[in-house]
Amino acid sequence: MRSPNAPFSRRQFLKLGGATGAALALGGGLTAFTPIPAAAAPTPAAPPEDGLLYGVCGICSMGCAYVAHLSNGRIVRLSGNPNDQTAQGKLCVKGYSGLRLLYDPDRLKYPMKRTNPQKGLGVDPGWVKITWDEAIGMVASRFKQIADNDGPQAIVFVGRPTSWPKHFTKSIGTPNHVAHNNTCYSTHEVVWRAMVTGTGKTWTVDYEHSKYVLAFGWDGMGKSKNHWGRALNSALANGAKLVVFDPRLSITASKAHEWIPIKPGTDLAVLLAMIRTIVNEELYDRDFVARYTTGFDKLKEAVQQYTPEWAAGISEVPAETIARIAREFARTRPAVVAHHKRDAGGPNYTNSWHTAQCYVILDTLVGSLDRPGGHILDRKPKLPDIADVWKLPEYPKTVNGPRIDGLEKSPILYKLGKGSFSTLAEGILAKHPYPVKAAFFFNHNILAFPNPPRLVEALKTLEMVVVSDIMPAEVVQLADVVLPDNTYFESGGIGVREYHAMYPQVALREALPPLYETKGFTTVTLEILKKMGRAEYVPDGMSGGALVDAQLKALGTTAAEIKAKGGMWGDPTELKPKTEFGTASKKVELYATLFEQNGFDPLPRWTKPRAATTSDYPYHLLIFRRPWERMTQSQNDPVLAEFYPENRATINTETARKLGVSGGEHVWVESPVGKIKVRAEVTAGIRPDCVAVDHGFGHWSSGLSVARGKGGNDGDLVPNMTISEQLGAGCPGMAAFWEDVAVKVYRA
Amino acid sequence: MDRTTDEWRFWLAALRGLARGFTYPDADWVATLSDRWWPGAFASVLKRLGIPSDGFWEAVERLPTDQRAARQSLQVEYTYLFINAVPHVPAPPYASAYTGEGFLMGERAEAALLAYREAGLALAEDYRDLPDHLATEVEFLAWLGEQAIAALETGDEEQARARVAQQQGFLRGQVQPWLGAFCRRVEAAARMPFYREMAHLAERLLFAAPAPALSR
Repeated sequence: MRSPNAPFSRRQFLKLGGATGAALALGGGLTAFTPIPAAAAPTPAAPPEDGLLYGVCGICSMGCAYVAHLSNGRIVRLSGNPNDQTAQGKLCVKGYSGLRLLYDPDRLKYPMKRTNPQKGLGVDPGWVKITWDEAIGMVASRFKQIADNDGPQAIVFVGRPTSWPKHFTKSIGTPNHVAHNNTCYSTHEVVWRAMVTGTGKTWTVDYEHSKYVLAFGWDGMGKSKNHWGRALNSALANGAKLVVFDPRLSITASKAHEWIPIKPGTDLAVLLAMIRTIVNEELYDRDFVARYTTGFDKLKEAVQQYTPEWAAGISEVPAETIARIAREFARTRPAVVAHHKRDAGGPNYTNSWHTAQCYVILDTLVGSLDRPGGHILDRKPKLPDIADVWKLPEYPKTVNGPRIDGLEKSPILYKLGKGSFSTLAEGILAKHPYPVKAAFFFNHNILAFPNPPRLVEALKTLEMVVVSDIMPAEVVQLADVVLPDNTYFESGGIGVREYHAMYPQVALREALPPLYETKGFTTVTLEILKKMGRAEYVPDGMSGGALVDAQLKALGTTAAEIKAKGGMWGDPTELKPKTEFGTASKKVELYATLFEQNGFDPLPRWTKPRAATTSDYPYHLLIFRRPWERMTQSQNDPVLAEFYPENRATINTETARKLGVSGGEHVWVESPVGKIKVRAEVTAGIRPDCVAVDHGFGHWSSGLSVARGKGGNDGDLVPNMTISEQLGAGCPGMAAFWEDVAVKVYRA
Repeated sequence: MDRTTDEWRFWLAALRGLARGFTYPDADWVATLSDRWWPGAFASVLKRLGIPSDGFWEAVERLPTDQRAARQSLQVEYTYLFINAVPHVPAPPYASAYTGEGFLMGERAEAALLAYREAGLALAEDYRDLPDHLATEVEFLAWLGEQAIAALETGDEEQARARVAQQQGFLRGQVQPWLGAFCRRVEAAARMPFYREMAHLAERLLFAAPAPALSR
């Protein structure tokens, strides 16, 4: 039956020529297909896309090389590349999940724009698919308008401070490239810059050859950094001793010879007392200290007040235990303090940067800095960067202007070119030092910020939010323009090993053709720059592979050669210990003059953590990661979600009894800034005065079909800060103080 | 041409309509919806097949009268149902989403690709979606049928039978196994009637295909 309103008459239909004409009118011809020329027709039995692709896992920074097994152009299986000098053919559970990220039905597929001007939690953006031309045009025209009218500083970029993002933001002229480092490892970075390297920090510890590994809140074996677990297990099998200070029985602690459940935020006290013991009892490596350090005498004097008995009163670790472990550590060489980002020296407490100072001092006192069995400094190959390949005009001077997160007020961190997630929201909301009009988020999510609801409020005030990402995480829900990014399977080039790089190692990245209309960040942002009228920063050939070609040339090899060698390049020279370091004095500065020059303590000094427990908030908050979770990015994986669907509040058995809480029951964990509802996990493996929440959950983006509504986000409990509050805490790393929070727990 | 073959031709024409209906609603196509050209042609073909089109017409009538508004509402709905959405994309139009572990580019995507190759087709260079997209699979079904008829018209009955066999095999083995589950999701999630009606018609056309007759 035809609608009375339909103008399509039988006569018109007959004009179409019956069925054939109708087919053409309705959508004839080949739209999705092209005929295969007879001579070129491949047989289904031997399609050209079968074979192997070499690549580098992008799930975490460990950079394990993989082999993707192809069948007709699709990856059917991943395996570790057996030629990988470090990962040795192994991938972790997160690494294998990468394939499901590539083929996730929720993945962002096409450029989109929002049609609903309302923004907020649970608000449907009313997305429509648009062309890349339209998407790039929208972003470029608005950014240009903002840059012209309000100045380029009114555009904020949130993303990692790697080469291409830095080039993009500097070419725009904005000083506001805000990276995540103050939530991750900025304390370690500023300490290593000031005391050892003059630059940042490296992430290589030669665990295999250590005889004594001392850890403070470090859970390397529980982070699925698979080589660290293997290396440490190897050391243990060879008779090494592992001692872990941690308020929670972490996976690493469960493997340790000794687990010492220290009071949260007091690691610094124990470390200071250990340094005092080693120095006073002359257990240190006299030769190493004499040759390679400055400031030993000042250090010795400064730590005299920190007796083991004093530390015991603060940390609840017996004085004799502190002294014994200090002696064991100094006498059992090589010995090393385990390091990684969110350990006790990470951005957890207001005093954590002093804790990180103590790590360096202990490693130095036992002579393990850049020595076998110790902490190894940079061994990456020196490769050309953008400025080495292209002669570019000077970036606009505005890139050096004041920042919306106040980073320039913390000059040691500022020089490292990172950022502060803690202060971004308040800067935007206060419109100080100037109003921000637009934000561009690249692969960073709101849930990675302290107090995400506050950031949502800030982003709602902007004229434009642009997001380049792979999955529809929370920030994408606030986007005006969505730019679907490639996964690491679809990005070619090389991967330079940063973690556990005992010698220069490079892995080949062979790219799968991008799915849908996804495009890589570099290609897209160079187009935006051109459309903004910044063509002088986009010379011919920049969007191709010229940078990678130059880097391969510097290595003296080619992609074909690396492929022929099984996807890996290496220069396995024997470790030649450094005899000069990157500080102004070329020594390890136990008394860090850079800190002194910038108004910070040059020596570690006991300071209390910010948050004390009270009768209203009687528990210390601990935050950790499960080995199978990749920050806030893996919870939409249905396979991982099947065996671990939501995060938990880990509570001591005795505490749970007092609260009347059983394992599996929902509880509220509440801080002065927010509360989350999670299920309780009751265990003896945590101090009674602590509650531990694992990170990554609490997604509210409806775009994530698996992850949405599962568990709670730890960041909701952590306060963000104004710049004054941040600076007032006196931390040169402007840390987010993630665990410096007291909470209460009660039945939901 | 006997009646059955005639019916089959109209079925193929209807598949063309179905494939277009499940392709992103661009401005040109929405213009043909707004002026009722495309719905008229589609309804006429459906009528020849004895398939009622009242629901489809009603869905068309409920589109905004302003062409720009109609385009936006259809694009928002298409993006929501089939690409990315809040709530999450409810009805990915890919075979692999409904088979195996539910990830895209699964075995069904590869099977589709192999079937296209066997028929002498490759995905076009500017085609950027997955091989097992519903619109693509339906276009393939229509093309195979049209090739069969073309072969028949040149007297190549063997080729015609081969094309029909390919088509029927692809319909039964590749399209039908996931179509029902897909249509249930569209029915449940659709916020406007257009794609719900398209899903109904997809089931009518793809589960009750007329038998092809190969005599001229």
